[in-house]
Amino acid sequence: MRGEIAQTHFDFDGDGRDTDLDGVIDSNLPEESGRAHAALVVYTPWHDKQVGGKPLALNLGMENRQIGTYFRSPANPVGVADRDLWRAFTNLNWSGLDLQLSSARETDNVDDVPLLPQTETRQHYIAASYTPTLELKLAADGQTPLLPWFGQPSFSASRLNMQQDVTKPASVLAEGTLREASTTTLGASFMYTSWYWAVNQSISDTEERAAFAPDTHAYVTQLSASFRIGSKLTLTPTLQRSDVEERDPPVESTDRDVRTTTAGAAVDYLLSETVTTGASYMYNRQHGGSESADATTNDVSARISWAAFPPSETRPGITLSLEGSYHEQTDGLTTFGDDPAYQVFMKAAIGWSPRF
Amino acid sequence: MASSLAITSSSLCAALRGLRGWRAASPSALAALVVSLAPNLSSATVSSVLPTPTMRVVAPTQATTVSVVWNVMRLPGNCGDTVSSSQGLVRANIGNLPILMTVPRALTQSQLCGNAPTPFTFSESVIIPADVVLRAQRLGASGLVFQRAFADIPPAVTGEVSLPISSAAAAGFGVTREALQFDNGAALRVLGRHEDLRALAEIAYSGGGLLQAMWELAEPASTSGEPIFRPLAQVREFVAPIGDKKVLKSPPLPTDAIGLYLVRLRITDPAPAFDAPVIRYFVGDGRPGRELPPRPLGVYEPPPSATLAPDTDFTWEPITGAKAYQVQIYRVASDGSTALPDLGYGETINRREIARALSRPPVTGMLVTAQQTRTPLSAAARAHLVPGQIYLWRVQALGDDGVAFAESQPRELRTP
Repeated sequence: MRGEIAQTHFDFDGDGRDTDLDGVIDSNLPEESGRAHAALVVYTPWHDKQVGGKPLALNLGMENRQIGTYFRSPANPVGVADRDLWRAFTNLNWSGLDLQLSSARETDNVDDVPLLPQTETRQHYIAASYTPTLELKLAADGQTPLLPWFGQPSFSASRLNMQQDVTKPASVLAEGTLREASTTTLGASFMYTSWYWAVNQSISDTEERAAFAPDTHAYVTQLSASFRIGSKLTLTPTLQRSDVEERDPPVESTDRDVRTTTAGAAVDYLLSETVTTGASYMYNRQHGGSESADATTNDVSARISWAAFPPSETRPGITLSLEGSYHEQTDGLTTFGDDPAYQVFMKAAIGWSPRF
Repeated sequence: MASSLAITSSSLCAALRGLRGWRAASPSALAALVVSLAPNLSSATVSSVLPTPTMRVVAPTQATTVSVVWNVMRLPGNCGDTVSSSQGLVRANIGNLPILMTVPRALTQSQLCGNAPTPFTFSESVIIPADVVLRAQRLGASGLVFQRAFADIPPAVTGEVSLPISSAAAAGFGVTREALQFDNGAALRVLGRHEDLRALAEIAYSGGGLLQAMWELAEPASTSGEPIFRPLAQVREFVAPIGDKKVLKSPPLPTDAIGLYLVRLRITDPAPAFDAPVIRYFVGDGRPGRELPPRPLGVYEPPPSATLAPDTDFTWEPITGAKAYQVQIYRVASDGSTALPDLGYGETINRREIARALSRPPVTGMLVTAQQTRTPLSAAARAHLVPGQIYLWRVQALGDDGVAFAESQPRELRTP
């Protein structure tokens, strides 16, 4: 169990504010008082428990955190105040499976300020990850385990639902649902001794009932990998694509649908013990409807390095290299920054760490 | 108003030509001249100022970033080339609209006066401090307004954004702070080639919504001169109103070429009122374990976040030059029972806790010869572990001089 309590007296405008910049302080607010407390209880029902010959770990917990409307901590100056949170959670771990569940309810306007509305947010979250323990065969040396063709896999999935309602209307907020959101994420990675590849997919939906912002639907796919082929060649490709659609925009705004594609690859090759080469290419394309975006960038870089004299304890090392980069950006909506840019450098680097 | 401003220079010239023979000037020519030369009560060439958005909810106890696009329309005819606004005013939306704050930033654009209406677009981000909103609340106002007056030829035309006051949870989505560091908690790294490296961005925000950003990198091929940032990876993540911080992890950062690299996370939506911070790392040549950090060492078992079982073996890949291998187990300060589940996107142990744990001596471990790449934990080693805790473990390869020249990435290990 754990608990904290705190109280602050904070002067939001310090020595006051010159509102019209005439050199005279026009307003000076008094300091505001705020209180906060936090309490946490966690229960672990058993230790050393085994199920099916595998250890089982389970935690159950509950938390309450209340931060007053005018509470301000110097240790966390950007922390958000005015919250009353109740949260229950559980965490289960067994045989490579990790499961997290939590449910939370949060209200604001803790000090019940008459001019402020009050909202209530409910959020539910579940996440699971699974990393199977493989039965690995041993290599000829009798010690080195051999990974199967799919490597060491790891899978993850999560789902979050959120709803925010206005429970006490004021200002521009009327009673009722303010916004709803959900997000689902799936991922898988496969790791080998010297390389890996991974794929991730996420889908997010937000619905703004009060029409302060547009509804959004975001769909993101990502592929990444890194290959070390032999002892000389490393290849790192990447591909990412996202679609963000806006619907039902506020009055006098237009909805924007933007699709962004980022793709590229980097290669590094060891020509010899002292000569290395490498190159990379990255493509980024962003386009959407309602003249919201239409831009393409291409970035290319290349290099070759020669360690003419490797460093040692008694003498500095010298590395010579030739490097270049090319950047091209085209924007269909404006012509700003459309001129390509390139740079080429010849470098000599001296490195030394003497020991006496 | 629009029709009176439709008088063009050609009609003025026609009226003047008519005056040359003024005794015989037609009534229509005289009328045109009077209209052209008379003080025009609506001579302002700026006809409209429309902000986007027209409303943004602000919170009373924290700064709110308001990003506004001012869409200004200038009519043709009697106009100059420059449309500008000298300052913005934040007023309480009550009574005589008292001024609460002045934004001294001037906005100016020039486009030649033509024969057709000319649109101008001005973008800005303004931070509304908490004390300004609080002052409005103390005056009894339920909101504020942000006004800007734009003019080519006076008088100016004013546009305004409504800023009603609500709580932070119901306010619009805004980013208040961005802090960058590398995965060991440092803001600057020096490391060897092919080392693993990632950056972490801690985002402080208010409200909630879809965060859109781009990880960008400037490589040695450009950092020697004018740094040119290229895209690395997109960020499209939903951020819930419950919570005020979000930690984002970069993709693996390249460490193939020797030289200086610059990394940043450029947030595009919601647009912050500050420039993206930049951190840097240098990749160099040297001796692993001495001038440079140890080389990476691959491990097989146990997998990440495994629970220690009676038959758990630690296995790793052999590495040339090792005289012995050392399995090290570190205690993490915050155990799993008190680590609250991050609602969607965090790790059980954050990077700062990892760095802190590794800065202290290991609580237990095993030392084996170079011929071994597999070992269980002995009973004596297990006796130092506390049940129900989270630990970190790694393997180091020791050279002739006893210095660790290679080591694995730390992995989580739980005790039942």
